[in-house]
Amino acid sequence: MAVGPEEDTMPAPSPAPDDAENVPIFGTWPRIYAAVILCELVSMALIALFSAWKY
Amino acid sequence: MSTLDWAVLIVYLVGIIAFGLWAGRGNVKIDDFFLAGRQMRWWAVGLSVMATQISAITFIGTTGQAYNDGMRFLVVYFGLPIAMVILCLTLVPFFYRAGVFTAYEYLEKRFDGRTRTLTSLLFLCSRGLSVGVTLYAPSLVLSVILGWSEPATILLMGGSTIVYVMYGGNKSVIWTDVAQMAIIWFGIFLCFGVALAQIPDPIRFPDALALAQVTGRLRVMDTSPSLTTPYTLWSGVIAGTFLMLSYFGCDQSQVQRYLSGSSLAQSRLSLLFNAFLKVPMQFLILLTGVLVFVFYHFHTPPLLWNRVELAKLERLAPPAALAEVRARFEAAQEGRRVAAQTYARTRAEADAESYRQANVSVDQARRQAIKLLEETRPPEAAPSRLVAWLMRVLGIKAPAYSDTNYIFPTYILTYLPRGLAGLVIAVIFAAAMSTLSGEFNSLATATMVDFYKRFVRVGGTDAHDLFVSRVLTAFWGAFACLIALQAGRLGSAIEVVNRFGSYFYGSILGVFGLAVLTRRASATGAFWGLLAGMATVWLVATFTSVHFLWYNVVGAVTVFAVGMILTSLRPRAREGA
Repeated sequence: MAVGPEEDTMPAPSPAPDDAENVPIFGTWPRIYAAVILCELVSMALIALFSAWKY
Repeated sequence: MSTLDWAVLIVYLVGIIAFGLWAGRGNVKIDDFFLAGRQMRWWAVGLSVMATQISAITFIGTTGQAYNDGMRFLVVYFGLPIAMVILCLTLVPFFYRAGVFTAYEYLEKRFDGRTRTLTSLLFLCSRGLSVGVTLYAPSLVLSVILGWSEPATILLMGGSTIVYVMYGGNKSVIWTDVAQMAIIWFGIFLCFGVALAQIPDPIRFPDALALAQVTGRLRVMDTSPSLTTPYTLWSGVIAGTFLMLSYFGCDQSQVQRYLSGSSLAQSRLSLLFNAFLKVPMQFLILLTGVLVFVFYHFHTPPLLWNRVELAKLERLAPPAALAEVRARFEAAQEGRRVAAQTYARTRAEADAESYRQANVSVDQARRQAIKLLEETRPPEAAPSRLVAWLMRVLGIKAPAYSDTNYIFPTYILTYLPRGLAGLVIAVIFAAAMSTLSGEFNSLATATMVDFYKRFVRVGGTDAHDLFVSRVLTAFWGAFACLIALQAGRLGSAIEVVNRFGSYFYGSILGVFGLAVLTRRASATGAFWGLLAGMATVWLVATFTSVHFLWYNVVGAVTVFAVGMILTSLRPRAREGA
């Protein structure tokens, strides 16, 4: 296998630190991520209820 | 369409072009043209991301799909919020910090130039061809439904988009997307409200839902573990997440939208905005399709939704055979109406079964009409040798007759009040143009940044680069129009294009996974891993019945595994060299 000298010598750049900007409504990034996942779970639960409900 | 409908459509078209030109003024450098000067706020970028994703066929196709098959398709979007969080934590910060124009440019910084060239070329090939289909599909539907000339519809839709994207670049794309998304949201609520209001007495909303439920159209959560069953909960959550990661993380038409954010936080917020809104939005679109399904229990639908094919059937079929099919369809339709009313009144299990059977009778009568059409119409021209060979290799069958995309536009034009029909046609235009604008812009960006500025003219002036960028935008717009104009003749070749794209979407995600999830992965590992991923997806697609949603998982996992294995073998390779 041909192997170039540039290979795997360059480390993956590390991500930039979070911006100092405020996160609207939720305040911090972990909170907004948690809110997205919670919203997803609640949506799925409501959709399951909607599908199964006896109208 | 009435004069008022025409007036609404013309006001939309003139207004959106004028707004696009106004919003896109002041471009000096390609930073302005391709990334809107990196000054956009999260809500504008978020709406643009949403508008780019929702194409006209998504709007009219998913309502038709809900009509025919129910709301199962919703599970595909279950992966979207998860994917957005993952992207905010992984790829978005890397892209932002690297200060890149294209996602593929980042791969050169991380790996090497050939990985960048290959991935960007794959994007240009697949997106360049599929943008023609994005333009052709709604143009075909509108030309059939409205009786317009197909080339005129294509040129109107494509040409008006080219005008403002060529002049204003990404600023025009984002701001027109904001306006178009507002129109689309309004249209969605309007269609839902009208469909709800038009269900006749004494059927109420819960009755409509009960009827849809009996036919299985409200069923969303299929927990089957099968990989071959389409749209299960697991394929939605797992494979849907990979699909959304590929689309929002590795497809330049989306990456370019959020790279225009004024900061990393603004870019992230634009994606999270979509994470909150996308599932409810698709739910509403699909529910509208379900309501249209119930609506047509009490209003006679056409024998075939595609007017052109219906006219062919009426012209070519033996009158006696057609009369028999029509009589059977009308009797089945009347039987379903009575059965639906009875079940809505009693909610008895016996009546539910009668209603179910009545639905089956309507479906059978429609299938008989389609069979008669296929028996009587002249056969389509056989595909060329190359296309036939590609179809064999890629395991593609000739597409069966489907008029799903015609259901919702037929409903709009037949039953929506004057003015509102024109508005919903404008919504279909908005959905198509918002996708096209993002795609023209991103294709021009990848061509300019990943190829022209690397291989043709490295140190061009701002004025020169801006000029070439506009020429490239016009080129890709014209190319899309050309493909769309030829699409009717290309026939099965369109299927080849669509399938081709699905082979490497997940594989490119695997390359980005290697780039950001591990520091060890080498350029050789990424390059050969990408090829191995595409080959594996081809094998799975050709020799198994695994549902296409899983291809992205197969591609991404293969690339990551092969890339890591090749990377770990490298020291030994060097020793042996």
